[in-house]
Amino acid sequence: MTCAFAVRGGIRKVPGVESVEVSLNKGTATVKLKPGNTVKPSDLWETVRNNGFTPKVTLVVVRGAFLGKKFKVSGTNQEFEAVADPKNPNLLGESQFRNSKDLVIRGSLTPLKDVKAVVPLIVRGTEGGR
Amino acid sequence: MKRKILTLAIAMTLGIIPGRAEFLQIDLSIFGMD
Repeated sequence: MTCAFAVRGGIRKVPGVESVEVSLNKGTATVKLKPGNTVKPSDLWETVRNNGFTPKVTLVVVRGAFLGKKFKVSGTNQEFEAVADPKNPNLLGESQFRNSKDLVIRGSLTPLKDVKAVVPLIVRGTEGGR
Repeated sequence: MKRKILTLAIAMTLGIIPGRAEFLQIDLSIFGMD
């Protein structure tokens, strides 16, 4: 239990984090972020690692824009190579993804050993635009 | 005044106002947590 408190406390201190819920059964931390935040997943991965744990597959809901095959989070200027979910390989060919300027998508990121390394964003679907 | 509104509208269109795009929710899987 102490471990979960340490992770939750660490993540909560990251600027832009609104709330953190840790589930010991699932081994997950659900992080809700404030509007206009500039949080990067690697910030959270680093916090998890600094508490002695290993961050794994990370599901994200993120607003941004597609620029060709790149997805740009314009609040922070982060760019991810966008890759379609293998279960739906034609997903990125749909019109909503082509050069869309404001889109909220669901996807996943898998951190490498070097948590600062850029990883591809596996796109699973949309949440609808603003 | 009109110029300010026009500048703001252009900035919003181009998406250069911070906070227009961001991570909304992140679900981390964490190995080894108990």
